[in-house]
Amino acid sequence: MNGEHSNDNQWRKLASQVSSKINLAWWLDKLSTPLLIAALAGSCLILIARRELTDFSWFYPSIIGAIILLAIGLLSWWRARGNFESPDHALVRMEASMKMCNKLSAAKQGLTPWPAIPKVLNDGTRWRWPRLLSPPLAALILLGASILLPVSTRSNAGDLPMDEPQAWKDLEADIESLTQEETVEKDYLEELEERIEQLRGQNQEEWYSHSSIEATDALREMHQGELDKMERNLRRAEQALESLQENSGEMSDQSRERILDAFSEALEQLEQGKMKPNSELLEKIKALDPENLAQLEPQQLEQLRESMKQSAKNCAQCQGGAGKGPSQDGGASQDWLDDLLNEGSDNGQPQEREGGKGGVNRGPGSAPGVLGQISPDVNSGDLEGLQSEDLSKSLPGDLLELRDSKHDVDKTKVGLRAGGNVDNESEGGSRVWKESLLPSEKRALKNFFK
Amino acid sequence: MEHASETEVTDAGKHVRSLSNALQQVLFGQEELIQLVLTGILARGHILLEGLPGLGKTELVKGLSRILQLETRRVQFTPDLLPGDITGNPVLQEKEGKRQFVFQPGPLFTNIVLADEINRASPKTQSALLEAMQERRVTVLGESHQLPSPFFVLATQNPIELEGTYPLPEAQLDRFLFKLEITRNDVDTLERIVTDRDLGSEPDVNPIMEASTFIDVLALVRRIYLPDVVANYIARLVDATHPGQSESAGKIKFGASPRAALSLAAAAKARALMNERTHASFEDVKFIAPSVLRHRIILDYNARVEGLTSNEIISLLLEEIPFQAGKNPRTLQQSASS
Repeated sequence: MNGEHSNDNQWRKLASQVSSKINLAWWLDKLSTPLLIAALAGSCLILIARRELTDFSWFYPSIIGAIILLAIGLLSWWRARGNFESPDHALVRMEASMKMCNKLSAAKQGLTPWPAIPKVLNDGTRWRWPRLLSPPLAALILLGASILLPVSTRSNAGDLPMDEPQAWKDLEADIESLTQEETVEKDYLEELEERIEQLRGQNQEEWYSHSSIEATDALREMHQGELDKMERNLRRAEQALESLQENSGEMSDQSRERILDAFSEALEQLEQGKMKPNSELLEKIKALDPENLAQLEPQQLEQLRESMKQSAKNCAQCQGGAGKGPSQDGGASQDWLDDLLNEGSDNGQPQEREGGKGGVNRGPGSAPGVLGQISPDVNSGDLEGLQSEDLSKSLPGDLLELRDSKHDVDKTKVGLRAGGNVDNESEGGSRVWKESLLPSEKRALKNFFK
Repeated sequence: MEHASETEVTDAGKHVRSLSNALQQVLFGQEELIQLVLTGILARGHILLEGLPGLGKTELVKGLSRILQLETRRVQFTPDLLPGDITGNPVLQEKEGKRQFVFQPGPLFTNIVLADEINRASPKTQSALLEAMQERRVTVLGESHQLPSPFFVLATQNPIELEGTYPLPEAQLDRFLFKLEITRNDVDTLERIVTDRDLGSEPDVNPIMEASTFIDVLALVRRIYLPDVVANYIARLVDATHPGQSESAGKIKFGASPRAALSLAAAAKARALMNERTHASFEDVKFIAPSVLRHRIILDYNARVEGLTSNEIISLLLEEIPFQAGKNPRTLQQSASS
């Protein structure tokens, strides 16, 4: 009786183990898909977080991951529980697989004694390892890859100070330079600086907006214009003084009058211009009487001219005017730029470009890639036209020969003969159409070749 | 109802085994057929035997009747056989000075009816068997007459020479517990038949079991325990014979009836008793399923064109439907049974 009771317990224990195995298999089956999806989503999120967050910490992601894993496990258990087997079902599974003729069911009913435990137990199932291990392995690989793959943190472009437009720097350099040299009246420089500060004071994201660049460009052009104007007027005044000084005795009245007018006009424009020379220089020039230059000490006059020259040079050297205007130093770079832009034009005139002459925010010509992605330049390097000397290797379309000659027409006399003499001379292919075509066809051909 | 005890089953099993041994002396080399015939008889079922002439169908039935000491009658079915010829007819008789109809029982009023070449009788005559087979009674002129107990119909039919035959209607086929196909004998069996038998002589068979004992055994079969899981397997198996209920039933036009499920259960119990078990099992169901189902499923046109037989479809069904109701998860695979 004890033996039978022992068998009963053992069978029930085995049934519990089998049912646990079956239920675990169901749980793992239902777990695989959500686990894979979660691993895929998690790895993507980890990669994004590692890229986007500079101070990425593993603490919170680990906790969230554990919670999600727990939730997925519970969800899978909830989905799998409908398929769970009780130990009684496991008994049936065992007796069916071991071909026990339902002895366990009968014993459970109390009809027959519990059979002895066989040496070899078989519940009729075995693990399908590839199916079982693939999802967790894939999940591990995905998560491992997202953790271990080297990902550089996105540079915090927003936090770094944005580089301001070069034109502002150039203008500030001009202001600094002109202030140091005391070339220009301070009011103009202060106003210019105030305008730059106004541009700089707007939101950084607006620095390179179209309106900002337009304003910058206008400011620069205005500054450039003023520089050019002051430089030109200073030079004109200085050159007028030089002429008056050196040629006062030999000069006719008319020439003298013209030079004096030029000096007066230059002085007037210097006074009226927005950018004025520094007050000291301007006062000196104004105090000068060109008609009585002889009263001045030559050294004083020479010093004044030198000051004017230096001021004009300072104006020409300003960065805001670099590459602009007919200044001495900037002229070379302007020429170089012109050459570059006019490259390929036959007459030296700027070539008319398709797509416009450029603007404040782009260069001349069509914008690249308007009609699609630009193909990689696989034929990089210089392209050189090759002339084939070996005519046997010429390509279709190559010009082989130019010859000025007549067609080789066979002029052997053909046609009706009388007594062995040929009467008419051949006219080449004309015989074909003249003698073989219909009248209507001949008319059509004649009309065509008219 | 009290389930059969092991002692009862063991005793009954011994009797049945002696029956089987005796029948094997009548019909050589057909052990499985004998087992199935006995199973069908113990399950109180009617059996349709199909086979070529001369394979011993009639000898088997006659031997069975002698062994069991049961009354047996043989009816040779012919196209001109009338229902009254087998059920019995009212005869006008003078009784106590009055003339009245007195029912004259036909050959159905016996324990075992050997309906030889049943498919040669007209449908009208065949249908006369329906009530007798199902309700074990005969109604003539509005008066029902109970047939003796036990009552079995063991019918034979010839699978060839189908001209002038009337195929059994489905309703009648469904009333047969088993349809057994008798196969030809092998050389050794034929040699034994030639050695031990003479042409025209009947084998000597001694009675093995009294009719009352046999009735007790029949009653015991009903007390065999049918586990719930086996009943569930039977239900799932019968359900799977219907189109759309299983992959194997794709070429079945009509599936088996609930009577098939009852037949499976009864036959499984009978086989359990023959194996001296107090309970039926999956293996019992699987063993008797082809005999129970093969005449109850009707294949569709495609299956017939492809040459598929009911036996092949049933084999597929038995492979497809697992013993236990639960499915296996995809993380587990079926291992070989021990």
